[in-house]
Amino acid sequence: MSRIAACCALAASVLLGAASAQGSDEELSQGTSLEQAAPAAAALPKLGPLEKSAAMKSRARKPGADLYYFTAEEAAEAAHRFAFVAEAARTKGYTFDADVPADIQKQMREDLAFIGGIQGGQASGLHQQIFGAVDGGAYTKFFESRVKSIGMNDCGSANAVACVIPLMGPSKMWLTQNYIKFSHPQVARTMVVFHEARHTEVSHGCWSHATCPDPFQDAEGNDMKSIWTGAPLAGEPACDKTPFGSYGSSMIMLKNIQKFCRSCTDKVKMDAGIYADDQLNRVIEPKAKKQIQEDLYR
Amino acid sequence: MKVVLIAGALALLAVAFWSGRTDREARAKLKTLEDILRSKNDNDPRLDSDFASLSPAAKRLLRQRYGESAPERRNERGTIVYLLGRSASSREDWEFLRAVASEPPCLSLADCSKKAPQAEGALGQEVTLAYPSLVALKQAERALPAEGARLVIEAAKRSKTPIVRRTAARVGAAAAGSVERAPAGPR
Repeated sequence: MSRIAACCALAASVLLGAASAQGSDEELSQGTSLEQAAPAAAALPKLGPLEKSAAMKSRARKPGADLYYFTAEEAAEAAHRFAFVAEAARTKGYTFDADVPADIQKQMREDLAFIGGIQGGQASGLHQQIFGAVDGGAYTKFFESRVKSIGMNDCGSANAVACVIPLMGPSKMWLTQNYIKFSHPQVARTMVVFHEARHTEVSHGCWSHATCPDPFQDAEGNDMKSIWTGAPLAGEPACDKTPFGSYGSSMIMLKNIQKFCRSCTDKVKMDAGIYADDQLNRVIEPKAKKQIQEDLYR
Repeated sequence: MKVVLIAGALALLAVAFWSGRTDREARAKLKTLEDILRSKNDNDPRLDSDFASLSPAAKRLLRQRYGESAPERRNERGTIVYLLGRSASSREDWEFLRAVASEPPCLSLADCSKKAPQAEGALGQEVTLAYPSLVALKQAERALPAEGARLVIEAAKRSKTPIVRRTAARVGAAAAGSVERAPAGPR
């Protein structure tokens, strides 16, 4: 599978127009219920030739990217092709493809059972809008109303753990062997799974990633880059402009688990905080960042 | 003379008995840890209940286990650091955490000594790659204002791993305040 086809985050959200998931004040202020949103999928506009051309260019400039991604064009096309997702969203549960190894299925089930067993009760305002309360049942509903099947794919990268490929079915999540091969904390695997689940929402352009600013520097003034490749993130589609995107929603989930989970071990809560704090760096729009900080860091 | 010899023998027996018991308890903790690591379940309640206090013998075994685990086993290593950091009190404890915080960067999850063959990373990998050091740092943050904890944070500030340096700088800056602050992040 080509790297371009196997992508997990939209590129160049500026190209999305009406299909964009980023930046609209209305979307910034509202939560997302897939049950409500799915019927809108069929109404998404097709991209014109100029937009298609620009989308192709955006694909081509990906070398060295920290994340692989799908294009705006692919997300919009998926929205049309898979408009029946509204129907699928009403069915509960997910299935594994026959080729998903038993040990990966087992790990995925155990991770989802862990999330499904969370008890918290309280939640921040943003979490309430996206997921409801910090509660295993709410997380299970969120996941199972979006992800209908799970298959195996290389997701175009030796390092990937999971991805969504809209043109191969926006309600399908793909896992790689790294899901069990690499030694991630359980919270990190969960974060990836819920990040990808957010990308299934065709009605929001699959919550496209935003392009990271250029320059993109940390507090010390160093370029934000991948430490294993040295590839800078500046100018790459590896950021979010809204709290409701894939980075934003998954970090809000983790930070709430850190703060409110009553059934979690201390390690899980500590891990949730570590990964959430890191993911906040990918939310680049000052207004969105401020919204998250006021919601979770006061 | 006879009495002295008998008393000495009894004392030796007591020490051997006590040492054996401590050793058994330490090994039992290690066995529990192995069970948890094998299950990949970080929400196993035994992490909270069974490791609340660690004897010096148990700590030695855990440190030994850390040294024996492959560097790529990031969560296993981080879990051991978490447990040792939670009850850090002795010079050896803080020295261990300081060494972890100063570890060289792990370059890829498949092989810490080599950069990944492809140019792509994936979500959260920077954190996982630095995970043991970040856990050492977090535990040090919790133990402030202990002197040993301060030294761990200072060591982390000199780390060759950017995310460890960044986090150490934030922890150091926030140490004076009581309000949780959001990471400074990119500007």
